[in-house]
Amino acid sequence: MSMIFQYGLAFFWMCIIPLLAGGMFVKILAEQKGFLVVSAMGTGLVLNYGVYQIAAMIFVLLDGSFRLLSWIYIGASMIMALLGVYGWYCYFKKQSGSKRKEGSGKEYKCYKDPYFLMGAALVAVQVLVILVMSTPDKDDAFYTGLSSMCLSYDYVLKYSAYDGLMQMPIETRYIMAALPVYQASLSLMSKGLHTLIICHNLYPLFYMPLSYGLYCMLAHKLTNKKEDLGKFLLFFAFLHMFGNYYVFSPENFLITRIWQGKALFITISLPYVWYFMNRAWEKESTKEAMPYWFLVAAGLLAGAFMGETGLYLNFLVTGVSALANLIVRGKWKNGILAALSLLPEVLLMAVFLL
Amino acid sequence: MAEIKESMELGYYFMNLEDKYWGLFLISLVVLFFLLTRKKGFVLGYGMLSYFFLLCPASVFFLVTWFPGLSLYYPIRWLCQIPLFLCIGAVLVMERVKQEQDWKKTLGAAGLLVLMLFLSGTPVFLEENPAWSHDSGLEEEYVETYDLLLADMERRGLEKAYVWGPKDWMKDCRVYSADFYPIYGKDLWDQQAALGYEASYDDTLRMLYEFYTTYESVQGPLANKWQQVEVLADTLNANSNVACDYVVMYRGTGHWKERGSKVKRLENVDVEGTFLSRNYEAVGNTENYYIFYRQAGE
Repeated sequence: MSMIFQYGLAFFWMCIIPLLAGGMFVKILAEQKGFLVVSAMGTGLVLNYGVYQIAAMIFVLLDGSFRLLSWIYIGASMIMALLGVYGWYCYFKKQSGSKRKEGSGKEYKCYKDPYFLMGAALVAVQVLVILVMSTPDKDDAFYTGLSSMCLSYDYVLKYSAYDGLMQMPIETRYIMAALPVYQASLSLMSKGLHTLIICHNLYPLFYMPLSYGLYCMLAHKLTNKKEDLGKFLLFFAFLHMFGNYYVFSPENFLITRIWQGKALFITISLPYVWYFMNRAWEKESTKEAMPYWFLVAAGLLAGAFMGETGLYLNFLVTGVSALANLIVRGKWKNGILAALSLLPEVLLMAVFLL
Repeated sequence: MAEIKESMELGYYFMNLEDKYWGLFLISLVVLFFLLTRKKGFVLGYGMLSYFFLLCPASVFFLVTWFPGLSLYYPIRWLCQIPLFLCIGAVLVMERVKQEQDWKKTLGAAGLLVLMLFLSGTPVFLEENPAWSHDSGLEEEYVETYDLLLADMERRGLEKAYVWGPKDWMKDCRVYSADFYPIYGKDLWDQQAALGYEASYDDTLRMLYEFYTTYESVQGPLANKWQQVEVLADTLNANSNVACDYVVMYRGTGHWKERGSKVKRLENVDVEGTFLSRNYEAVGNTENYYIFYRQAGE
């Protein structure tokens, strides 16, 4: 019974809270029909990650307590969730208030497409297989070790997890990424559910479908054809089962190690940022584009939270996307906004590296 | 120079399409180009993005020059969104074939796509995939030893324990409990050691690491394992400055036999007697491991 309660708590913190927090931006998220849940959960997740990253950085600088950090995060995420609830309330009120147009719900029709159902079934099979096959691996010695240390000794990213002798300071590149500490917080917030279970079971269970959803959203944005979504998902899920051509391939990352920062960056942050950057660039006025750029900044900060991989590669992603969009669409002011969206990351790097 | 070399290798790799997936990726780009010609702006932006995500040798060269860390830890190749491009390409092919309204062609195209995937891909769900590293997981017997240690720590009123033992056992112990402190970490023997991490460890710890590595190694002379057991016990005793509460040793010859070594004389090694005669205390044992407690200052 207590295990079910723990899993319930983990589900609440890992899925419900992000979904509610995503409600803060429901107005703009609802613009692309049919992806509201995916985009809201993705948005809530990156916002939560961004907040945690900033809080963790402050706690590292102040040599603060891990438990206090977790409590502050709980407070911040609850506030975001409450604001999101208000956003959802306004959204649904408006929806029910306005006359339902004939044929509304058409945007969800593609989910009944046999191709889509087959793709979804493949994703479900993959998740099930992961739940059965997943085992701790060599990287757990460090990442899960870090989480264990935070839980046991109540500090935030201070010593290397390899030997645990409290004499070897952790490298700066790890301090920049608070994901293992966040996973320890999840363990704390789910009444002691082991971080290994959170990482190896719950991350794939909750975030593999989210990642597929984000990729579908991105593919839809790139092709702009909803009727192709089912085929895309089917091909995409199928292709991922044959992606072991390289141990660090995006396919391997998504299926075998989504709980690791670098994998989370490739499978969640990257499609998220790519998608919203395209949306931001589409907008005619800078004012209109501002909320999208805010979400891009949150996504980039979440990328830094996930690992040093994200911290470096975010600049590449933003730069390349900005360059391509500048050439294709012009709107040089957006180029400045793209650069500004990296500002939170630059500030974090400046604090630690300079 | 190293960066230039890497860049050249990548260029060579790219030009020769050694990886079948890269070939498919290029095909998908061509498909995209021809099927989306009406949306030229989109194709141009898309193409540029894909080119950079594809890692053109020039961008790799500049990136690894500016951010040396990229080439060491995080190959930007990880960014390659090959599946995304391939699948969009595949969807567009299907769409075009469907427009022909010929079910044979549709079926043929779908079959061809599936065949290409089968021919070019490497299945993820195979035991050979390093991601399923069952052999390095938390082995049941490890858990048994960790539980024995935790019980003994509780009995002695120890809140934490410094431990020394086989590499994999040490690597996993902190995943099981943060109250275990291996006297040296995975970073000492990991490839990252090449980057200078080993400087964090003093000579004594490195020596202990070398001795234990020799002891558990399948390579090299096996006839003198009993001497190596004595050396381990004596060296630790002689270095009282090394904080180490528990030592885990192999019991029997299972470890070596499982790894293909034909050990015979090791069966005669009296590991327990060797350690007990040197003032270590027996804590317990499992099928393949002995656990000894070392009094502080011994």
